[in-house]
Amino acid sequence: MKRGKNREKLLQLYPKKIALLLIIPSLAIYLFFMIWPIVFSVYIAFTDATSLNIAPSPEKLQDLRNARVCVMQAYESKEIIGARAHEAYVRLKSARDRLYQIYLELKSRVDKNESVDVEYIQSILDDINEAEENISIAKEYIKGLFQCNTTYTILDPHIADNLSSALDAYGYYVKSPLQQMALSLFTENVSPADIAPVVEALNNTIEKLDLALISIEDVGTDFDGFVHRVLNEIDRELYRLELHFVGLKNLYELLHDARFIYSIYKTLLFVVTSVPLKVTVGVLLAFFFSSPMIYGRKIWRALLLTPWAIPVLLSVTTWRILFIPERGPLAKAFDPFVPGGHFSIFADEWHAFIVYNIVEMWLAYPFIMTVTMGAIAGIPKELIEAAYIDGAGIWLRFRKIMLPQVIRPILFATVLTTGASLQAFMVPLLINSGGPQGMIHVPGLPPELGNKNEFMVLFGYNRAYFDNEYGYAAASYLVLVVFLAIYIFVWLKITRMGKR
Amino acid sequence: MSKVRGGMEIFRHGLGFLLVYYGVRIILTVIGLLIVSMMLYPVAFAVLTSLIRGQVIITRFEDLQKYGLTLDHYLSVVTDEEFRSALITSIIVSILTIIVAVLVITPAAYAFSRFRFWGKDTLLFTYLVLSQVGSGFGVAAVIALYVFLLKLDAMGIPLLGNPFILPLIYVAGAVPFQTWLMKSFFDGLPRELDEAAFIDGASWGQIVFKVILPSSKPAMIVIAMFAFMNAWGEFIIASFLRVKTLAAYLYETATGLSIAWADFAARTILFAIPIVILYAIAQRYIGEAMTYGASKG
Repeated sequence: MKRGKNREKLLQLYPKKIALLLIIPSLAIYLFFMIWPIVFSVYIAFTDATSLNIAPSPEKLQDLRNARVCVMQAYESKEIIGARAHEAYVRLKSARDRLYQIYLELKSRVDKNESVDVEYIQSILDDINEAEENISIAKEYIKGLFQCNTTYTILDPHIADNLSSALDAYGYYVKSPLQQMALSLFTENVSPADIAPVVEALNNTIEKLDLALISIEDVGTDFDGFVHRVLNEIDRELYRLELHFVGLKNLYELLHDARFIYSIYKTLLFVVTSVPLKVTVGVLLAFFFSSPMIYGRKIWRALLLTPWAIPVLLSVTTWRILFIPERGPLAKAFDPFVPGGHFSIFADEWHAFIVYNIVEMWLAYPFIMTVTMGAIAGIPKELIEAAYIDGAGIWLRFRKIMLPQVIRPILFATVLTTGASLQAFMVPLLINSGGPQGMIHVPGLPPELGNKNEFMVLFGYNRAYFDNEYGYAAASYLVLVVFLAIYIFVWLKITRMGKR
Repeated sequence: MSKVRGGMEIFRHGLGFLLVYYGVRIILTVIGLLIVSMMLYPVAFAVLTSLIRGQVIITRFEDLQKYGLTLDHYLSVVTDEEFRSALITSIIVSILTIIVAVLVITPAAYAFSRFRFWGKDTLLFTYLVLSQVGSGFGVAAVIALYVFLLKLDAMGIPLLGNPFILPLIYVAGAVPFQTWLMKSFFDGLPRELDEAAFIDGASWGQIVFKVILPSSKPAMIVIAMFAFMNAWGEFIIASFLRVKTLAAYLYETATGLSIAWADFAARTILFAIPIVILYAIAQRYIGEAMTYGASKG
């Protein structure tokens, strides 16, 4: 009866409505800026989201749609387009024919193993330049085949690709070597060995030009096919700008991505190495500086907590400077341990891994130390004194009295710091972005080029930040969440166990 | 206690024991000093790097004599336009974060401490779990948030490069941890305080402004401090959203194989000073808060 009254009074004093009113602002911010995006990213994980399609500008999409409509209407101006294509054809054909003559001439020399005199090359230089100009002009004609008012250039991929690769090959492997030969590099005749690659490239160029010519002829003969190809190209571009649901594709690819498997391996390895290291150091420091024998231990303890006081941006980058290969003092100090080389966080994945462990230890020991010291301070003095009087030695006192009292808090702290190692991100990011780069080999999977120390959190970050593959990054975080869920499960289990 | 025991031992063992006793104390203290200086070495190194003339990495003590010390790097940082504008952005963002955090988290924590409502325990438990996996989750959330904001930005709401969005994000990320922190503070405040006011017939306004707010001042200071340290030091979200806070600016200049080390060190140290000072003032609270999860278990 009394209790019921009490509850009534409580409800009266603290009405639920007011409680909700008080909580709603924080909950709203939290839901909007943390939970909502996370839910959204779960959706993203099943899409092919990239920087292109996540938020395409409406103008660009409209532009593409306009282009599509414009191409559809091309039948009305079939003759005009045909005429323009013909102009391009003529230009291209003349360039092609002249290049073919040059090709035949040079090839006959090479076949006969004769050298080519520089004067001949100088005489054809004008033609060489003119041919390039003609191809370029033809390309411009092709770009302007459809007089559409769009910023997107409407192109037939067959023609455009062939012309582009012809121009590239021509400029790099034909024109500039010939120019060099004609100028100062070769004063004497050019040997067949030198001219042979040019002949080959020329042959290549002519083949591409022929392909382009056939496609351009198509504009006149097979107009439907031509329009179809152009429309296909626009549709492909539109597809790239749209977000697509891809189901489990990202997850499938992740599990077959050597980089990701290696990332999981490295993350777990880091947990296994860094947790014992930081717990040991923290606990030892706590016991040492709990000794009443040390003068001024309060000051030393306060100073030892410095890693907490310093933003990671300062502390971790300082560690990085300390370990700059061949220049940083600590890198130099480690050099003798590397036979015939240098200790390099930018070249050797394990060197970087060692540094991560050291830095993580430095960042986390204050936590372990504080927890342990709190536990030690909590041990009743009478207990130790009684044991002392009973004649228990230091070791016995430590093992039988101190250890049982501190083991529980240390265990909790260990579990928490394991979570920190599992989610290590700042340290690899600031030390060397999870590098060095190299081929990553995982048994049973094709090797891939990637960063060898990308821990799981960093993996997703780098995929999103550098590669702009948001779908892939989100999927990798889904896998991470599985690991975190297992971790939380263990954490809660241990906490419950300790409470009992 | 040790003194008493020491005294007793002298009677038992005489002067020889006294010598050993103080000898051990001195040796232990020296070892302690060595450990402390080892652990503080990176800090000393950063400070020296920022003070040495030229852009060198110090490797030996002789370097200090060889190159000499100077304050030039600090001068050049202070006169750097980019540094100054980033500083102003950081100050604005930090102050706004403090205001939002205090305004939003205090009432919620009060409600969690005093009121009973449906879902309270579940929510608190969720907060506890999320505050422990906060960092990894945080990065995942940042990327999700970025994608999400990109979408909103494309719709015409200017969010990228907008410093005013940052305080909201920072407070959001800190909600689980700080709500817990503040709630346990309120739990420590006697209930009778506000209940007495109720019974005396005070209105809600009076209770809030006369009773609750004055008594929660220390907790609000702690929240404000954490909010500041978070907003001041955070650089991942800021650089994703292209807001050049001081931390984001530093991060930008931190990459690359050979940077101007001394200038960089000077910049980062200037950046760290407010946080170090805050830490020194509030060391006790921060220590408590940092080990919160472990003691909670």
